[in-house]
Amino acid sequence: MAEEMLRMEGVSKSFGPTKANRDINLVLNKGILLGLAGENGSGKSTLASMVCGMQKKDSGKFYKNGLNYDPHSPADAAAHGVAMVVQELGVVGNLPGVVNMFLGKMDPYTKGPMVDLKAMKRDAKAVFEKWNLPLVPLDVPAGSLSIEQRKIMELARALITEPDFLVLDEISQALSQDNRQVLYQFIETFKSKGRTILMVTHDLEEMMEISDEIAVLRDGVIVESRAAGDYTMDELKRLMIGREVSGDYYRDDKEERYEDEVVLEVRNLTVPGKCEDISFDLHKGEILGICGLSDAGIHEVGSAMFGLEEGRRGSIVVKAENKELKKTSDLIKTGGAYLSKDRDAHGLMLDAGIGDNLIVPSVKELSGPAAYLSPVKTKALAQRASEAFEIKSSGLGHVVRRLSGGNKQKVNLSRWLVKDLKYIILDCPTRGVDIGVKAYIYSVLKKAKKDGIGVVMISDELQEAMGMSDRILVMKEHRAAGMLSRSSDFTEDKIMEVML
Amino acid sequence: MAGQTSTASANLKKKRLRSQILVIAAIVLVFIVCHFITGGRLLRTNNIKAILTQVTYPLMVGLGMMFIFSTGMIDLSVGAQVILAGNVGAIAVEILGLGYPGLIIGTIVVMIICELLCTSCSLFIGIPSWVAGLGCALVFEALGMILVDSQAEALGTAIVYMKKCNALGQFPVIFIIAVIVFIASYFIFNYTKFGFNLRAIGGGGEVAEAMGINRKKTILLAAVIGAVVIAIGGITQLSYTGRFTPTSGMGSLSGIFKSLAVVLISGSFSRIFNDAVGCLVGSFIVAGLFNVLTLVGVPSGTGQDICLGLVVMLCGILASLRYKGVMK
Repeated sequence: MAEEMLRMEGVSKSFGPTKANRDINLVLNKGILLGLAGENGSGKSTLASMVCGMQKKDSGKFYKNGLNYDPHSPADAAAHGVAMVVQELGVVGNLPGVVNMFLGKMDPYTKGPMVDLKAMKRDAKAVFEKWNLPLVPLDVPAGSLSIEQRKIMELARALITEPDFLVLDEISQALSQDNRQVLYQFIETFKSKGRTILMVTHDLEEMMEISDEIAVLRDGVIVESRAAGDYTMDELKRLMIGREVSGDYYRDDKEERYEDEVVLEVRNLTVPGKCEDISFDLHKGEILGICGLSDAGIHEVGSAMFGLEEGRRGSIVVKAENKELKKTSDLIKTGGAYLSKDRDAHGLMLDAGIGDNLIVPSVKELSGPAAYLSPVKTKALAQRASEAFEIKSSGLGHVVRRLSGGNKQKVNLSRWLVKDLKYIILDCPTRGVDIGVKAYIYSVLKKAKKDGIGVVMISDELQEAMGMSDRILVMKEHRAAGMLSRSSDFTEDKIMEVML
Repeated sequence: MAGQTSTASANLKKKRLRSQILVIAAIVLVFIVCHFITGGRLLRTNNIKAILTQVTYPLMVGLGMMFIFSTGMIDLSVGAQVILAGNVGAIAVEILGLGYPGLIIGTIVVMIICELLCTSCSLFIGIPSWVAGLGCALVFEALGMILVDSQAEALGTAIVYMKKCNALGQFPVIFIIAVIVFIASYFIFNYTKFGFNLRAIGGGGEVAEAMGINRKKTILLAAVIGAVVIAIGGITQLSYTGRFTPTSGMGSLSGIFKSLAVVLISGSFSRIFNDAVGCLVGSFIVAGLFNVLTLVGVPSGTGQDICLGLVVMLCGILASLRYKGVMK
């Protein structure tokens, strides 16, 4: 009989009138990965954060290895062998990676008043080596690392205390294809040592593939929990949403279909060391996917097009107006929009309310005489965007920082999509969103395509890129390695062949 | 991947070192140019001594502020605290006859109490730190006025003038003390658990707390260390000038204006120098600038302040040039 690692009995948690978790009963055995499935706002992250001591439960009990377990802080959880890589927690940007990894755990490295940084670095590297994780720069401020490097560093940080229970909340969606494989290998190794993982991911294919068991949360309640192999994809979706979800949310046509008219002409786009000599045309009504392994430069193409990268060369021309995009404001003036992969750092005003975030891109259109912003108009727009994307919150004044990852992305996207756009550059648009929102985003993209909007969709998920794109630009080592067409080349093998 | 990582890391270090050398070389060059502009007076031995003396107070107060501000506490009552604490020290020497122990202990203890009071207002009552700082400044200024008025009468003067215990303000003692304070601050800030904790609190309070760092304890400890460093600056300044004139109506802010400029310059150079070294560089820029402006006859208070404001902004612009942001 499998040995028990963590038991939850009658665990509940409320935030004011909102019941985030109700009477949760769950058992996680040793050596397994339990996937926690559910829509945004279903209570997954709350449950995960209670397990790792970030939040106190209102009632109920946790037992770890048969003993009462009631962590009052993440440090206390770590002392009980529970570590985490969770959405809400990040890194301290102004401190080097090595210091970030040992925050709160420096006592063994303290010699008198001094901290032995060399020993810390040595032991940090040993963690990366032990678990076969790709080493990230440890000497530079963590804020200067890419989101992917930060996530890998957070994983290594969690492993420093040699936990036997690990909480992973939406880690894989920050990773590219190759580093996801690294993560999966790590998970296998971790489990093989009799240790347990509680994983939250919105990628249901991934969840079905790597989980041993899956528990489904809906409106804060566990509605089903059993072996992963006993679910079908449609059943899992139905359990999460509470109704039948049509089988496929991607495009069902097999042909690339777009107009001849070119919306954006990109020529020899180069950012030294990041992307080299990238050229393509984006047509009216086309979804152009951009894919590649980590460090291939796919995300930099998006940020370079938006004008965020220093030393950009080459040209990006909006053909209808024959206007060259030189700075970020040019993109917005010509009916364009850009969504960064790192929505917290580059997309949202985290400490402002939902309403303020929603109206920001439309302030010019909403402005009246003497730049007067009518509260009626701004509220109406914010309300429309909020309702269209079903943002779960206490109202337009709800601070964005307090939203779940999926709801943050809804705010990020909806404020652009209520505008009259000609083209949009999306960097991982479905990162951290649940299946319901994913389906909604894809339906919006399909509509945008139908309306003649050109879409550049940078994606770390091959299935998504294949499912939605007319063509895929595959990048390798910062350069374009091939342009594949929906009608002839869209197989995973073919794309991987070009990537590698 | 590991190879790429170490190369990226090494490249970044090289770039940083190059920038550091460039900034220091630029400052030295500016000093040399100014030497000729001032008719060869700037780098004369006596003037160098004057500059090294003028560096000390903005540097030590700036370093103290660095500890306090790094936790996210913007305390603008520091000037009022130094005036109050310094006058307590001066009274301990002149009226109570307690000599150096009275000066040192009196100033440091009062400074610590004031800083802890101000920090606690923000930390435990939840008032924004800058609001708490301004409120405390008014209170400390008033207390300073009341104290000096009551004690100066006994001395038959308008203010408490410290005629004894002046050795700590003489060159090179004052400069040696500043160097020791800088070295100690540098190591505390960059190589101790406390230093990392306080920077973690300032850089990401929620992350730091989740990692087991006691936020309140760290902030209070930073307040104490900051207060001690500022108090040492206050003691040497008091020994140097012999007095701290009490002010009211936020006049105390002008007393820490140069130190604030040092902290601002340090912040501007944060991508090139760590904060402590940034304070050192900043204090040389500020002291050098005021010295040059005085030598060429630019009026103090107006022309000199305009120049300082421009220099602070220039430092920010220069430090931001070619900033690459996220590293890949």
